[in-house]
Amino acid sequence: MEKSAIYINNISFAYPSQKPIINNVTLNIQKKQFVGIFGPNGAGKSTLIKLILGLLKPSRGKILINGQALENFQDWSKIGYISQKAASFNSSFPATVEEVIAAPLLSKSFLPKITGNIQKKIERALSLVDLLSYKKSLIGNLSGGQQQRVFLARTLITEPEILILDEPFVGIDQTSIKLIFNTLKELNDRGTTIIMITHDLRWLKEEIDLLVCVEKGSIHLHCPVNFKNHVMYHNH
Amino acid sequence: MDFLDYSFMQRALLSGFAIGIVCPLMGMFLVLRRLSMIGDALAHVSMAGIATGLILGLNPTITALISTMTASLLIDLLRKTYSKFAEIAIAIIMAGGLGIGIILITIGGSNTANVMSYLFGSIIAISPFDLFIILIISLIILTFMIVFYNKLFFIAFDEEAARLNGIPVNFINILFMLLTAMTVAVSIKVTGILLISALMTIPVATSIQIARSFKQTSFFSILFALLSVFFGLISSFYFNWPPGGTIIVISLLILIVVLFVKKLSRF
Repeated sequence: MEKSAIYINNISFAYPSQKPIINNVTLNIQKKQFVGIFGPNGAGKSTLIKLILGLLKPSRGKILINGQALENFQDWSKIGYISQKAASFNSSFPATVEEVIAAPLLSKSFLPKITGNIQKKIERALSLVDLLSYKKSLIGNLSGGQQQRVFLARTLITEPEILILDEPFVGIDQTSIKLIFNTLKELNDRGTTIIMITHDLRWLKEEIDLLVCVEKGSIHLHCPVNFKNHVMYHNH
Repeated sequence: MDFLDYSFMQRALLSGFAIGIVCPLMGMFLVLRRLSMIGDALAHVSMAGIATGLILGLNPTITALISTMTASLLIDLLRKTYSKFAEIAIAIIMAGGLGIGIILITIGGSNTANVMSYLFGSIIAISPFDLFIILIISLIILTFMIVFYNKLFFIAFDEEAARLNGIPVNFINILFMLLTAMTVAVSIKVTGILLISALMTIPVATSIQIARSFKQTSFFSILFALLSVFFGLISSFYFNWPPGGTIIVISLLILIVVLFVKKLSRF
């Protein structure tokens, strides 16, 4: 388990008085891997991520992050997460791109002032997503794709070791999709573990190290054969 | 400036400035989290607290403080019970507070005769002790806002991300609700029960129209609230109008001017 970024050991999850959404799942995600989690809508992909992030508690099984049991894991700044909901924020919220990106770092201090060190980190993160010139713009004035890039930059500012993205390409333009994917690839080359959820196979490219196919019910689902490695599990 | 010769006016202005800072600051986060009705609900509950104070011969600001703080915790509890219809919690508490308040005012008889000054605000009703309470509580609220400003911004923008970044969201939310209750209770004497939530929302609504950042939204919200309170209290002094209504009408006039100027600047 030494090289394991996330180790999921035989977990199950069900909402009260409902059928299990996740059933006896075991998965080992190695450090520095680029992992795609694929499956149709409602297959349990987002639930699996919420279990990893501790937002939901498994009814059975264990999850280890960087070798530590989830319930003892403290260093959440090492985990970056962009949720499906990120892009559906209140678009008339009066905040600049800079203020949104600085939030994870500023929330650790009392002063609302962006200091030189934080300013440098903001500029580095914005350069990565090619939005440096939008630093002072109101976030609501940006396109959907640009907003998603801002959320990626906000996640990158804490320099996470593991980056989890839940359907990052839904409803955004091709330029932004290409840019986000290239940024993810670059981060992965530098050692960041990437876990990307999608229901659309077009976004899972050859660069992916591992493809996990999530399927609900008993219908058999085949992962595409042209991927180097794949793991499958079924929820019954 | 002859209004400054009167000690009741000095107290009204000092109280007004204090609530002119804390109301829009708290209101900004309520508006952005789409919780602006909470201010209204707590204000209605404060009526029961005030009536209790008047009947028992206790300071109504203190009893209003107790009732609004209790109600804020009940709203939080009910919002969890009705997680899919969270706004129901606000409606239940508002109706409950108002119902109890009306019964208490009726049975209070002559003790609750001057309840009108609490409904619409009164510049002559602020005693030195009221001023002391208003200033102390405003200071507590302001300290909380300075300490938690960055965290509140993150929670208001993206609660889930804030939670994942290790921010104790539940704890801060409860503290925020309690401080909203305190803001409502200390504002009653100046704006009156019926118009407190307006001072928490209208300056913010005006500010959002012109602000180019979150920091500017905070600054303009406070500026517009302070201007409304200052000119509202002075107008109230000279024309003998109730301060609550006057303050809110001025804040509405500022909103109309801002909207008009914004429209003109587009041509």
